[in-house]
Amino acid sequence: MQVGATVEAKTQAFVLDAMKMDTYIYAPHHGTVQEVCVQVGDTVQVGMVLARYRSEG
Amino acid sequence: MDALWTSTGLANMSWRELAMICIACLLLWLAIRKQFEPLLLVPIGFGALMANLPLSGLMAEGGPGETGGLFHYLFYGVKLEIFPPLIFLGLGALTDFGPLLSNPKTFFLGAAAQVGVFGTFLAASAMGFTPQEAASIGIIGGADGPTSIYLTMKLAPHLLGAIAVSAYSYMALVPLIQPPIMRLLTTQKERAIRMEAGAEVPTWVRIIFPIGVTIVAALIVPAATSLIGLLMFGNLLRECGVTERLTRSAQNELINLITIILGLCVGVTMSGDTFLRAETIKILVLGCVAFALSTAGGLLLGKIMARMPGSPVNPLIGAAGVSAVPMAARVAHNVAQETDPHNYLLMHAMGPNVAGVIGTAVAAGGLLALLK
Repeated sequence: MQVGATVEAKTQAFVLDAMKMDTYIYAPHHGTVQEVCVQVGDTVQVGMVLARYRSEG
Repeated sequence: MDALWTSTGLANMSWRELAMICIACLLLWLAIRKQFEPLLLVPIGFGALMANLPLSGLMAEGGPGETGGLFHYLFYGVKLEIFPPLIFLGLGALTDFGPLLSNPKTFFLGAAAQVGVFGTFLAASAMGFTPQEAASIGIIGGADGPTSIYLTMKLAPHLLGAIAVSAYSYMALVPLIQPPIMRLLTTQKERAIRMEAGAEVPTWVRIIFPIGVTIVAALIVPAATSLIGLLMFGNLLRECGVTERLTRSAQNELINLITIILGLCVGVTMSGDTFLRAETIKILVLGCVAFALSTAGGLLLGKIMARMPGSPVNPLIGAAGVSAVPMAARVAHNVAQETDPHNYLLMHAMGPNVAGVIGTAVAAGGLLALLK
């Protein structure tokens, strides 16, 4: 996922690894990525913002 | 020449041993090729293989001036009930009770999923097993290997091989056994319920929890103290923050070493004359029933909780009450995502999942108190 990229609704945006399992985080709607807040390998907490993007349509 | 031939294992091989070697190879194949609980089924399968090679004398008792077989001695760890509690020590150090503590009502789901233990206990009694045997079979429904081994050694040691194989095989089959039951017992709407993230659990709660559970469990079910006590001790090591070296040992070397030896020992009990019986088939069938009943028990309480006021509960997490950590929690998560890919149940399901471990150990303690 990169800044400026367009994501379709329901595509896989992130993969989190928890309890030995890959958890896929899907994009809630169509839009353009404005900011990615995490790096690959980061440990994330409940409620953390992973990315911001502007929805289109 | 004749003497040489009769001293070989080949001349002493019976059909039972041959059949058991095939079963041992089947277990190894399931573990290696299909990755069914490989960390357990590889040692169990290899132990079973060695136990059925004639004249090896692995379990020989020895006598005055004569050394017994290797496994005669290693098996003392199982016979004297040392290994299962040590595994629990490692499990405690590996388990994060945070999801349970941030949503304590999920504890009841872990308790409800013990329905299969008692239901199967009654069913097995009705099928002609003694109460002690029936209890050991029922505990398979708790989906917890060390507890099953512990209880079986105390109540019905002759069934150890069959019960351990049944417990560990069904744990590997959780992703196949549970989803149909989960889809059958819940509605689309229930499966789509989203849960709220729980509050962060402060350190002092995480430290008080293992101490409190040990005291309460030991006072109510004294027979479960060696299991619950060591589970909670392992957890205290993890949470207290000042015993990092001990925690690392418990999480890695200790639990791995004991798993290797316990697995081999369980495998070695699978000799032809104890395993190749009609009872083994009955135990395998009853074990599956136990798993299904426990899954249903957790789901049904989950459905009731979903209807109660308060923070929303997705009934699917009830199915994770059958310990089998963390596999059952993953199954709940995956089944929920079939309905709504934006629903993330994994950490919510860990609450009942770890509660199930405590629930099963308490159930085992209760059965022990009743039947010993």
